[in-house]
Amino acid sequence: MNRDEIRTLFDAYFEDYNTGDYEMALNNHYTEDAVFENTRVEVRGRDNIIEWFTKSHALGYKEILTPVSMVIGEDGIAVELAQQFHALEDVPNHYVSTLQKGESIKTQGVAAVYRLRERKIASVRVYCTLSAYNPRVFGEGVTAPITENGD
Amino acid sequence: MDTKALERYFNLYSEGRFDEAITEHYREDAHFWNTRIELTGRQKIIDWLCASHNGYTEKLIPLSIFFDTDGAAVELQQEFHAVTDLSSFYIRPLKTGEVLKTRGVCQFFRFQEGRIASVKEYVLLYKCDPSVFMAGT
Repeated sequence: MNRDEIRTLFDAYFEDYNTGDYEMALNNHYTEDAVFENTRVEVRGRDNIIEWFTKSHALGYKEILTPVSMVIGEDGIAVELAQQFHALEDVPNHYVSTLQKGESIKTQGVAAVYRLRERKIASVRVYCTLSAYNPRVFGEGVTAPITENGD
Repeated sequence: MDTKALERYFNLYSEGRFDEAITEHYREDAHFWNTRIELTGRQKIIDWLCASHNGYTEKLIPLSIFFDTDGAAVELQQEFHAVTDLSSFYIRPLKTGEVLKTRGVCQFFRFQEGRIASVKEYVLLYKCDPSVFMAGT
């Protein structure tokens, strides 16, 4: 795929993602064996990722992703993203900030690396800055570092 | 900037030659933002890197590089080697001689006039000690 094709593919993906219909978005754009990793979870398999996206967004908010900068490679992209969250109800434990019904917040604290295989997303790794996030939420459930001790 | 220049930058950085790495590759007014600090100005970045690498060496190994005309994104493996005991090291405490490897960092570079104009670092939090990162937030 050339850069224009990759750009077009991801424009379509983010448009589908932002509808909130994750089953449609992921069935359109992810491989069946896709792997999703973010600051909180690692999920393997498209169906499991759909389930996780759907459950995590069922807490009463909508999320809109907007690419801020994008670096296109031969088999994927690295992209810095702005997130907009709109609370449909009170969300006291939202991972960015406590939200009240009707409230909208914007952050620019995540970046993602997407790898493609046969024109589908085969892996996603979502990184974050820390200042943009709710430390109470991120501090909980975060366990010992996954590291190796070299010899 | 090209991939060779970026690789040279990481090599110099990994050898602890921060002055050369930054002077050769960064703009004078470069912006540097990682999980612990935000700095503007090449000399301030050099000073901070020299001061912060007290008691350990850090080797950066690019695992994947995305390269464009005006920017790059690099997923990195970090290898920290403790030269002395580091009880408050920002990932976790280290003993003298201990080596710690992590794969939880991605850096975004923007280029202007052939040099690095900005660096922004993102992390996979669960690979790090959150209590350290949260201290300044």
